[in-house]
Amino acid sequence: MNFEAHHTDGLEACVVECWSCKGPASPRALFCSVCGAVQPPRPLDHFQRLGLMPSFDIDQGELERHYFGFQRRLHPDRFAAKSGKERLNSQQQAMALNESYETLKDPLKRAAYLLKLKGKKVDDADGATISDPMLLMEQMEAREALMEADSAEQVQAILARTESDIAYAVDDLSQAFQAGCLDGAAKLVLKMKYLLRLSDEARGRKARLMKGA
Amino acid sequence: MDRPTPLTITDAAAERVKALIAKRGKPTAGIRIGVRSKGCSGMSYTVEFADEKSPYDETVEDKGVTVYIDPKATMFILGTEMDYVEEQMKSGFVFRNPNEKGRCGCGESFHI
Amino acid sequence: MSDDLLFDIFEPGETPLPHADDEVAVGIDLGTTNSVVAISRSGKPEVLRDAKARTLIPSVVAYGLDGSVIVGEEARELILDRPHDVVSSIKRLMGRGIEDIKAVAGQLPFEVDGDASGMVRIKVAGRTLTPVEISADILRAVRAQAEQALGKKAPKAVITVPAYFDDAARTATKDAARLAGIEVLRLVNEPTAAALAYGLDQGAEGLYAVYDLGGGTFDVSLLRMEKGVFQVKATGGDAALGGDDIDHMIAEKFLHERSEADLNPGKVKQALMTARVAKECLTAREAGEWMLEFDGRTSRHALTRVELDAMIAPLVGRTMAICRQVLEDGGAAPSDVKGVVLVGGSTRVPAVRQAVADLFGAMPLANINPDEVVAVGAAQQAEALTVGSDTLLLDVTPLSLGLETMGGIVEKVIFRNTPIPTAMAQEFTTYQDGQTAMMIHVVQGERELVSQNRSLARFTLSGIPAMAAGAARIRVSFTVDADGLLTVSAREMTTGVESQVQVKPSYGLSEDEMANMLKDSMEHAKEDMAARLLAESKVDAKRNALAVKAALTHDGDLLSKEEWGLIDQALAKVDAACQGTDREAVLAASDALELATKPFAEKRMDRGIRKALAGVSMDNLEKRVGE
Repeated sequence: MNFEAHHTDGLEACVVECWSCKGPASPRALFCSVCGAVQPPRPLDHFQRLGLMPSFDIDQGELERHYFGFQRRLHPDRFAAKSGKERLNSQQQAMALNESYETLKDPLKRAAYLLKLKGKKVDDADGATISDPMLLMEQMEAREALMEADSAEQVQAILARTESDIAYAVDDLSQAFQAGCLDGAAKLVLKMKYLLRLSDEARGRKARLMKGA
Repeated sequence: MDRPTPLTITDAAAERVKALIAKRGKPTAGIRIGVRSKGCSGMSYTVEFADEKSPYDETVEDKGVTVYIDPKATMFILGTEMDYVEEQMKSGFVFRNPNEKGRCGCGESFHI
Repeated sequence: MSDDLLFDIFEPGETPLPHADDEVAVGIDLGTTNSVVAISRSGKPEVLRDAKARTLIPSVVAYGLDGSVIVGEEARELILDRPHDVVSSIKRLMGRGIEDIKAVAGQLPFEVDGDASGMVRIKVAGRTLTPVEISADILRAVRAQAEQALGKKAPKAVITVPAYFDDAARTATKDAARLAGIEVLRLVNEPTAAALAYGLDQGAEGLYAVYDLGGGTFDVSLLRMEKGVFQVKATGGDAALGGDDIDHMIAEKFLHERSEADLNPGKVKQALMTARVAKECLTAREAGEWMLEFDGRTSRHALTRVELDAMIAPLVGRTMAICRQVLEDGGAAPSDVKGVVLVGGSTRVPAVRQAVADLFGAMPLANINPDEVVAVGAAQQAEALTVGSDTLLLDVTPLSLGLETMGGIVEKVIFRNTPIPTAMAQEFTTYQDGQTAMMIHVVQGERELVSQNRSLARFTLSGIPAMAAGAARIRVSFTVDADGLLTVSAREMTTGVESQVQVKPSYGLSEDEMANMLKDSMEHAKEDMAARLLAESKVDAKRNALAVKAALTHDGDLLSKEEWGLIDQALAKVDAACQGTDREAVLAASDALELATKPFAEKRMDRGIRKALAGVSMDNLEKRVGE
């Protein structure tokens, strides 16, 4: 399967050279086992980088524990007194960790990323076309309702509904991934993008209405 | 009285030096003892890996360890013994130096 | 355990300089109104005081026509006598361009050079200075206070900046430190530093908010504190909102009541000082009356707490709106917040405290001095960076960073509240056939249009091979480091042609300007240099005296009473000289001590050699030389 091929990309099999002592280092190693120098980040996927199994259903607590654990060792603050190269490597490691963390902690980004890892394309939400007529209809109706709402209470009601729709979409995504239904998951990702945009707009409109009041 | 050898090395020190060179993971000729004229009382030792011998270095070989001594350092460490100590809180090499007369308050520099 | 000096083996040429412990790293809160310096040793923070035991150094600089520079309380006292020579609140202009401040120039208590391009320049005492140079003068004084208090050199520091400072203001702060000869270990956001100090002191765990209303800036940060990790969830603020604005409101009211037509900097400064006194009085009292007296005319001005609260309600309301935004960005409700830490002198205003309590539904925490908590956190971070620590600060970008695209629209590349350090890239293409260059305009802010955001830098990527429109792939990379500083580079991807440009902020100083200022500061700062030389010679003299005292305790038996007496006298002279300010006296006393101890040194050497050659057992020898 495409995903498997990506996930075990042979990194374990080979050996790389430590930039500092030129000795052999594991490509997964964060520090050289010989000289202790911090290594530059290797091309790992976000799950590998944070030591998690690739899955939509991740334990947020575990994600944070791992993220904090890696940052404790790799953050540039730990290397303030070290050589320029080590400082640079630690900065890049921290950047890679931040990117992985930001991607995985957010259900929408995590789902989109997981689909990408599995080789599944998602329709671009920025494009004008929605190929799913049901989704199109729903979104047009919701938008119209938002435009017509002229009190903060009405907007709040739409916002609450949208937020609960988002929570349902997250549950649905989890089931779709568990069932291995990538087409379904891709559709849900797109739906979530629209729901999030709707909730953003509702929030903005609510703030404007409250300011005006 | 015999002129004392410039430097003697204890077993512990020799073993530790060999281990550190092995850990360094690249070709190493030995270690080099130098003196740097910075520090509170004017001078301080440096101990570094040596990739090669410098032309004027004095060479001491003892217990399988090669030590190069910077000519500027020779007179200061004449007759010292290099040892390795490991204690609860700290570890490192020591030079026991009968020539030494004054230390600065912090112990990191010396002068004669 | 022996006290032998232990050596490690280093890579060639990489042996660290000895006496690292003669140098300390401090934390500096470079504030709009006051600056504070602190140190942390073995986890114990301490705010450093001047000779009169004061911790707050007013961020006020008085320039003399003779080139002299006075900083702090003494400069503040000169504000009324020499209004044209004294600069205060310079932090509000850090990283600002002339266009930024034209709107507020009338309110500023100093004269701005209207002709300058790029960074703002201030006319003071016949000189034209940038905010960077003036901040550097403050930092030099702060550093001197630290070195005086510690008897050690303090060449490295963590310096705090408002979380909401943009890239230009951060760069300006770093440049000021460089000018003052201070190596910046890290720029740390003020609310984050405060949270660190508070969290470490109180062992706080959970979600906390830091509400920081200083003299000229407002910040609010939402942090999670957990087992030594301080993770900023969201931050927001206003880099031009603070206690100064309250002073301005009161001063305006007073001047209006006086019907003062002919305003000048002197009158404005006096009104501002009176306003400040009134504001501070009203934190404890319900009402009061103050006087303004100039041009031989005295006017009396009454103000009550209720009136003041009404006056500042819009200002407090703005901070509350920002707090709500930050809560939303952090995905938290007010009830999720376990506590609110108050920072900055302006949080003493009762209306501010009440508003914070109302929003978060709990009385805010102020059990660490709000004026000092930021410097304490900075000092703890300085120790963490130099000595090591188990705590970890994970901060975020306060403002989104983006590029100008067609039609003056901003395309965001890094969104606000992204954890730093971070790197993001976006691809762009050419819009004309054969286009070989592309203008890249970097902006910072949350708005849609370029004109509504802050312009950080413009540069041109040239050398793009001629291609059909849309064929080139230009990858623009944004990197924000742990100091929150941005670097932008651009590269054409299809052909592998690389063109990278490092960006300097539009309102920053060029390398040439920095070089000139560094040179000038060397030439002008003779006094400064003399002070440093004095401090250094004292450090050396004290160290020598310590070494002699140590030797006396171990080998004192070698001396006759007379010899010992002579050495004691010499030691006393060194101590006395170190109390004074005469460098020559310090050097002379130190030399005299060296002379007096010469026979002693020879005796010690004889004893050492005798013992060594007599084959004393190693243990004894170790005791002998190992002190």
